[in-house]
Parts: sequence; structure tokens; C-alpha cells
Amino acid sequence: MDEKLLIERARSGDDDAFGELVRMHQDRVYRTAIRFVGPDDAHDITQEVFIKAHGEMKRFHAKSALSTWLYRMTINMSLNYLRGRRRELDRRERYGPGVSAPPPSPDSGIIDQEFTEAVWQVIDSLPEKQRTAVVLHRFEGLSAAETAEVMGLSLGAVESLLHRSKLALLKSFQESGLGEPQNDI
Amino acid sequence: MKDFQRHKQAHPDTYREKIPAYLAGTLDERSRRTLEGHLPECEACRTDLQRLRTLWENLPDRAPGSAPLDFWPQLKVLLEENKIVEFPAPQPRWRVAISFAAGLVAGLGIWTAGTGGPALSSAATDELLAHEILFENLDPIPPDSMAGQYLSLLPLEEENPGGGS
Repeated sequence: MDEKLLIERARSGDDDAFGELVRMHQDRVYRTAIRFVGPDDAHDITQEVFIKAHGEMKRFHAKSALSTWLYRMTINMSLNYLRGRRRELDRRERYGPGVSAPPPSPDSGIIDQEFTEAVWQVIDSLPEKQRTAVVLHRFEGLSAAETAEVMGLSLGAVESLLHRSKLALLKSFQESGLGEPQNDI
Repeated sequence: MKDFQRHKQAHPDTYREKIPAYLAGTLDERSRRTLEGHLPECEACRTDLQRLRTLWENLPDRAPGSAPLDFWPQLKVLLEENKIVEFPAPQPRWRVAISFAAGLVAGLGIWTAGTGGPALSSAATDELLAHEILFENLDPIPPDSMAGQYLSLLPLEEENPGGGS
């Protein structure tokens, strides 16, 4: 069914229409959430996004695409969640016992996963705007213009963010030796 | 010739440091040419360049999966159980502005009434009247209460406008 019609029906309180919209967009919201908060918390973020969307549907006037609206909510919620988690970690480091890293797994089948996580640790360390631009453009496949619309920035600003993030990531990859055969964990 | 000498003397790390900017396309023209001149004669830099280029082109994704198949049924139950409460929309700014203005007028009215200021508008007079009626209808404060004792300490100028004590 046409998305516009579904939006109209969902706005008038039709939960089946809302459910159809959820099915159409749940994967992109979930994927984006994973890229920000990791797999453990992405499900909760995805639920929060759609719960909020359900509550705010009457106020959504389709001036922008529904996907743009959902991306914005996902990014805002993920970043807020990360800020809270960072504060909690800071608090624990200051006042509580130190957080120890889990012991390395003896399973060699996990090498790819560890390499992926090592790369994402570098991506996670980017400033929020650069990271958002990289996630949307590089991984979600949005054009620079679409990324700009989601982020509420000009095209030039997003292009600048993408250049700076690429340079920062390559520098970090070079310093950390990621990609070298002996360092592929 | 001068550039060539400098190029030859430069430490290999100087070239290596420029590789990320070269790949990101942010290297200035002169540095780019210098690096491109260096690459054929330095295997370490070529290897580093290739490694970073390959890594950039094949960045692994953290999120290859999709949301659980039963995501919507779960969410539907959650929405029905919790009956999400909709918060009232924030008041339009003009309403806040009018409330503020009304408060200001009332405050000004009370102040001018106390100091014998100019005549008030009808709205402010109504507001003031409402306050006066409210105060007139209050029960008298018992003299033995704490407030009564406090009031007894205040000078009674209004009750004795002539100045006599």
C-alpha cells in the first residue's frame, strides 16, 4: 500500500496501518541503532523510536519523508543513550570499581568479529556529527544530500564532515596498524 | 632542484604521515606530487597506501542483520499494555506572552494602587478588585499566632495616617 495513505491512516489512529509502516522501516532503524549503540541495546532503541513515533504520529505532517523523521529520532535517541552511558562509565571510573575488559575468547572463529569491532571502536571515537555523517552516508547508503536533510545541515557542511571524518579515520587506522596482517587480531 | 634535495633528505615518516590526507583527497597539490614521486622508490609507503586503501574500500559493517521478525507483534503488545500517554502540546508562545503581560499589568496595578499612581485600566482594576475582595474576606489573623505576633511588631502607619501612635 502507498506509504502516504498508510501515514494518513496511522495519524487517524489506525494501528494496523502503523504496524505496516513499522514493518517497512524497522530494519533501517534497527541497523542505524546498531551502528551507534551496538547490537546489545539496538533493540531497545528501535522500540523506543517506534513508541515515540506512535505517540507523535498526529504531529507528523509529512513535510519530510517518514524515513528522514525516523532516522532523526534514531540518531537523537542513540546519541542521548550514549551520552548517558558515557556519564555512567565516568561515574563508575571515578567512584566505583574499575570496569575490566572481558577476557579474550579462545575461539578463533571470532577473529572477523573482533576486527570489525576494532574498526568500529575507531569510528565510535569520531565526534558525533562526523560519526553520524559516516554512518548515514557510508553505511546506510544515503546520498550526501539525503544525509544533509536528515542531519539538518547544508550539503557543503556534510561534504566537509565526510572529508574530515575520512581523514581522521585513515589517520587512526594508520596509527593503530589496523589492516596489517599481523595486527588483524 | 631545491625541491628535489628536500625530497631526498626528508625522513620516510614525513611521507607516511601524508598518506591518509592523500587518500582523503585533502593533500595540497605540491605535497601530492612530492608523495607520488616518492612512492615508486619506497615499498613501505606503497604497502601502507595499499593497506589503507583496501581497508577504506572494505570497511566492515557492524550491522549486517535486520530487526527480529516478530518486532511489530512485540511492539504492538507493548503499545497496548502501556497505552502510551500523549503529553499535551506545548502552549503557543502568544499564550505565554499574554499570561506574562497579564501578570505584569496586575503587578503594576498593585504597585500603583499602593503608591497612588495613575488610574488603572479596567482589566487591571478588575484584577486588583479581585485581590482586594480576596483579602477583605480573609479571616483576621489571631494575635496569639506567630504571624499575629509578627504583625504586632510592625508600625501601624496605615491605621494612623495622621502620624499619631
